[in-house]
Formats: sequence, structure tokens, C-alpha cells
Amino acid sequence: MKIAVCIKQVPAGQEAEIDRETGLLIREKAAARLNPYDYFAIEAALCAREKNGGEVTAVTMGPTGAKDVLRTAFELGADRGALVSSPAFAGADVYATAYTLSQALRALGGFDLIFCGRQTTDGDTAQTGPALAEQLGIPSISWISEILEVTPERIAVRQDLSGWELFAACPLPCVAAVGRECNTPRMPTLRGKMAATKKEPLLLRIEDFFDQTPAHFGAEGSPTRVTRVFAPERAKAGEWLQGTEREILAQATARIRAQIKSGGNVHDGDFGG
Amino acid sequence: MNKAEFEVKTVDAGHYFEYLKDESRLQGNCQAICFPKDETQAEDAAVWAWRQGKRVTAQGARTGIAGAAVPVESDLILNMEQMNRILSLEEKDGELFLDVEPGLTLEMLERALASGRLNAQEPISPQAQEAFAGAAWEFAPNPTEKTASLGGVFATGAAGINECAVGPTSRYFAAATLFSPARGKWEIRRGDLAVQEPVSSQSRWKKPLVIGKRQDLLDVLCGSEGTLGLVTRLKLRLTRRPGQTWGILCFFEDEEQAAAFAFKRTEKKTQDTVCRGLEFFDEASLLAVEELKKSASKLRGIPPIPEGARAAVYTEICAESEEAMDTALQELLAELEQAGGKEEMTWAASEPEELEKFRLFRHAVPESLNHSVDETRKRLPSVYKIGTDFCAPTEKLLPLLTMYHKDIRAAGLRGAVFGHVFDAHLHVNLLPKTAGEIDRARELIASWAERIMAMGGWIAKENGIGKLKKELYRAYLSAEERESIAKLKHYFDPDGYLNPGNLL
Repeated sequence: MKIAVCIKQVPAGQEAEIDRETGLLIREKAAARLNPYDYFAIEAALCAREKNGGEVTAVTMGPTGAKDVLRTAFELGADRGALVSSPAFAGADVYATAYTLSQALRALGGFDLIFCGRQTTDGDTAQTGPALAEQLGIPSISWISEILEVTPERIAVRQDLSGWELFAACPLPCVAAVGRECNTPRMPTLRGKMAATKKEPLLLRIEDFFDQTPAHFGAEGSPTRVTRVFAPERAKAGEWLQGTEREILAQATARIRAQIKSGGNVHDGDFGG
Repeated sequence: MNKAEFEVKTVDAGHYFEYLKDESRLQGNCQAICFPKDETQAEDAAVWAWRQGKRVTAQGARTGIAGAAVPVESDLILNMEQMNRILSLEEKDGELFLDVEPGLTLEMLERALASGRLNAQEPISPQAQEAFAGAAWEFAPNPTEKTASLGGVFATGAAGINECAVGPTSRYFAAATLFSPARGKWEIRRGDLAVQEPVSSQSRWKKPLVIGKRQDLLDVLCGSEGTLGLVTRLKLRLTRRPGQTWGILCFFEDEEQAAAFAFKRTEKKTQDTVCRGLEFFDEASLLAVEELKKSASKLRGIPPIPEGARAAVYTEICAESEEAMDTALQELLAELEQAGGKEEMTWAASEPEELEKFRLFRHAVPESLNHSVDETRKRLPSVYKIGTDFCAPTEKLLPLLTMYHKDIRAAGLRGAVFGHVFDAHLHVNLLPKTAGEIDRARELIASWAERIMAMGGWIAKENGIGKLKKELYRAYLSAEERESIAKLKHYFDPDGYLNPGNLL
């Protein structure tokens, strides 16, 4: 089975610098790490390989420094790695990223099963996996909380859909986006980790793609325009209720009832303390 | 003196009750608590209490496991957790010294050092700033409980898994400010010798409060568990972080193979690499962690232990060059396979966040055993964990391990053995489930202590003596040592007012 896992390098901490002009993250300046969700995707890919045979190829798109995350994938057991990197890819939004990845996966010869992490901790869109499937013209299955079975023909999963669980199966090839609940990622073995330092990933540039039109990639190929980046203001109006425990409870209950009657929402903090 | 500057609060069932105990699970008793916010408040509170004849127990983060922070026969708790600021950074001959308040925790310190932002209260000189920015710095002692306070680390001399490489914790304290209401304030610096007549009975192991020949006073204070004075300021000696660190956890299907492999590692001598930790875990320790994982979400990132694992050895290796590290890892792999270990049953890490998983794993062992005791206590509240902190010459590792397991089985007790391979410093945790088992466990401890002492060991290496181990401690002090301790205590705290019940 040919399995791919799409992974991404993200800023390591909570603080990252943003270009005020473009609204884009300045990745070169930030300490970086593998997107935490991608560990679960790698583990899912390795388990699928252990069950069905074949090989796992880790694919990442980013500047040259992003190859560090491929080393992590090698340490954990990925057979091959590909760094998709070109100045033409810079500034890509979800749409252009998915398109670039689809071109890279095609250039690598196509795959039976493509795993992604549910989302990244920088973009947080959770859309790249489904968008990639769309670009490849194959089905996608997201919000996976458990993988029940992977065979050469299909993947069967449990999906966590905000309060609902859906048991679903999807024919291969497909894109599968996995969540944290899906598995516990392994630790690399000593030999695996040592060997990873000697593995080199394949470098894929726009010249390696079927579509070599620069306007289809990067900022130019991205319909999204970031006009402003800001933290939303949170209005916090609080009110202290006074009295005995019983009296406070009665007052709180009366207010909640009144809110519900008027069709309003009851939020945490509406009642201050 | 105006008491309003520091606030004394009443301890009762609804308020501050948790401050009557620490991680030892020992329950103390005290009517009042004060949280000084700075050095002046701490001194004022101590003098105020002293003038009223109130005895004081000083507390840090209450993470100790020998009960040193538990108030017994005390009238006031002085809890230092709100004195947690970094005060200043000083550079001297290429070395860096960081002044901190005693309530600063290890995790706060590590975060500040890693972020490069110290937020020191006093201005930092350009030389110090440059030196700080020019390298990665650390406070070398590495107790696994990162919520421990620096004051607590100093008070108990708590060490971590890297003691085998970095030496005793006290080395990393360059100065301390000590306050005794009866005697006043001292600024004690490294190099100030303890001038009291040293005792003649020298031990290879450090005995708290026992003064050796030409011993630094700072080393005497470190480990004195607050019995000589209130520590209000500490100067930490920072060191440069090693270039590369690898952690390797090797699981074994056979405990004897694991122990033999661990012992062989202690004999390894290399010039280019340093062993910064060598730890052993028996099967019961591994199973306890697996059990705790079911309920502790913070352990979720630790994978299941490999099938068939009955023991494990963890080692941490540091090197400055990749070549040196590569050679050391190849050698380790060869030794592992010679010992009967399997490469596929190893976990390896080299990045800080991966190494953090190993720290969590190591720390989860005692935590999981405490959790198990807590479960038993729901049924029988008088039950408690009985643990050892014995050490002996490293070559005694294998006979000691055999002795512990044989005796635990023979006594019909449940227990786990884990800990440091160097100095055969294994922690045995006995988990009694009945009053009868508590008695049997105590008998075992006493019998082991005798045998440990006979083989040239010592009964309390790193967890402190506190209140739980003082009987054992006193039993193995000579008359001369006891007399010396009494003189020392009388000099610093003539009224016996500070941390009553600890050590003495």
C-alpha cells in the first residue's frame, strides 16, 4: 500500500511575528516544531503500513528549514520524505496549499491513502485535508477519532462530530484527517532515531509538477486576502449577587430563566462570580 | 512593628487546610499561616512570631516527601510561595549568578531561562546581559518535581537524576540570605567556612547538620530543612547547557538483564560524553505508571510500554559534538544487545519536548505509587506509603536489588523498586494495605537500614529527613555527631523556634 502523510512545520511557542503588510506569519523568525496533530497522522500511517505492508512517504510544504519535520517523520519510521519548497509557493492560503500538495502527491506517483492531522496549530482551519481531497478528486474523511480498519480497499473509522459519533467507511484512495483521540504516537527507537540523521528527503520544486504555472501557486494562487489580524475584544459584564447561598441561587435561577424566556444565550461569566 | 504589613490568616477546615500537609501525606496541625510577599515581610513576620513565643514552620511548595514542610508543634506557617521573583543577574569571570526569592519554582526558573526573558527586579549590567544572551544556561540540579521551590530544593538538598554528573545540589548555590529572629541576618557566601569544630567521624555521604573538616557553611545550610534560619534570598550558579542531550529508555524482558546492563553502564568512562542520568525501574514501577495513565491525562502522550517489558533502564547522554554522540549511541546499542536487550524495545529522544516525556514518565513512577496509596486510604485512612532513600557503593546495586525483591515477597507486601543506579540509590516504595502490613513494612525498613549501613551506605541521600525519617537518622548518628548538631542548632536558633520536628 502506498501511504502518504502530509505534515507541517508550525511555530513552536505561543508567540510568532506577523507581517503587518501581508498579514502572514514570518516563519523564518519563529522557533518551529512539527504540528502536534501531525504526530497522530504519522502514527496512523505507520499502523496502516504495519497492517497492510507498503511504504509511508511524509510530505511537507515550506521553506528549507521545514525539512526538520521530515526528520521527525523519519525517526518515527517513515520510509521516504519529500520537501515541497519553492519561492513560488510562499504565502499560500488553504486553497493554494492544497493545490500545491496535490501536485506534489501526483509528482510522487500517487497514493492509496493520504493521512493529515485534523488541523494545524497556526492556521487552525482544519480545511487543508478536505481541500486536498477535492483537488485530487478523491473522497475525504475528517474528524476521525478512531480508525477501525484499514484494508487495501477501504478505511473504516469513527468520527467525532461535536456530540455525535458517526461510524463510516470510505473506499481508497482517500484523504483521512485524524484527531488527537485517534491513537498514542510512538516514540522513536534508538536505531530509528539514529538512522534518521542520515536520511535525506527528496526536494520537489515547481519544475517537478505537472502544472508549472507560477500564478497557480503561492500568494498569487491564493484567493484569500488577510486584511487585518487582531484579537477579538471580549466584553465581560459581570454582576455580583449577594445574600445567603440559597438567596444567591434563587437570584441566579431567576436570571437564567429570564434569559431563556427572552431567547438570549447564557454565557459563562454573565453572572460575574 | 506593624503587623498589618504582613497578614496572618487563620487555618481551619475551610481555609488553608491543604497547607497542613505536603507530598509525604503526613497531616500536621497549626492555627495560623502567613504568606510574606518580600524579604522584609518575611523577616517582620518571623520577628513578630518570635516575640510572642510562636514557633514557625517555613514552607515552600510542599512537594517534599519526608514531611519537612508539615507543621508539627508549630504556631505559625510561613509559606514562601508568594516570594517568587527573580531579583538580579550578575556576571563574574564568565560565570552567571542569578539572585532569586525562595518561592520561585523550578518550572518558573526553567521557563525564564529558556525564554531568555528574566524580568529581574534589579537592572542587569550589559556584561551580564551579553553573557546571558550568548549561551543557553541552566540550573544544573534537576529534581523531577518541577513545581518544587528553589527554597525547598536548598532546604532539602534535593537532587535529580543528573546528580551522577553534576554533583551535589549545594554546589549550585553561591550564596544565601539567612534570617534568625534571635540572631539576625547573615549573607552567607560560598567560601565562608563553618568554623565550629568538625566531627571526626567522617562519612562518604552527606549527613544533614553534621560539620566536616573545612566544610563550607553554605553546604551545611543546604539540607538543614529550615532548622537554622529562614532563607529569604538565594544566589544560584548557572551553568552552560550541554550541546546535545539524548535520552534512551531501554525496556527489558528480564529484570536481571536490565540490572546487569545498568551496572555495566556505570563503569563506562568516556572523555567526550557525559552520562547525565542512569535510572532503573522494576516491573511493578512500570505497571503502576500504566495504571495511572488510565486516569491522568497529562500522561496521555506516553505510549504504552512494549509488550513483555518487565524492567527498564533510562539513561541520558550529553555531548558537545555529533560525532561523539554517535559513537556513544553505537556503543550503547552494542551493550544493550550484548545484555540481551532488544533495540525495538527502546525509546529515544533528543529534543526538549521529547525529553520532557521521559521526565514525565520518571516522575509518574512515584506519583502512580502515591495514587495507589491514596486509593487504599479511602478505605483505611491510616495507611501511608513507606519509602526508602538508601544509598550504598554502586557495586552493591545487584545484591541490593535481589535483597529488596526477595524480602518484599517474603513479607507478603506490595512494593516497587526504582531510582538511581549510581550509588545504588534505589527507592523502594512499600504499599501496605492493612495495619499489619504497615508494621511489617516498618520492620523491613529497619532491617534494610542496618544492612545498608553495614555495607558502607547511608539511609537518606536526597529526599531529606524531615519528620518521617528522623528516628532512623538519629539512630545512625554517633554521640559526637549528635553533640555537634546540638551546638549548631543552639548557635543559630537557641530557642528551638524554627521548623520544630525536622531532623532533630
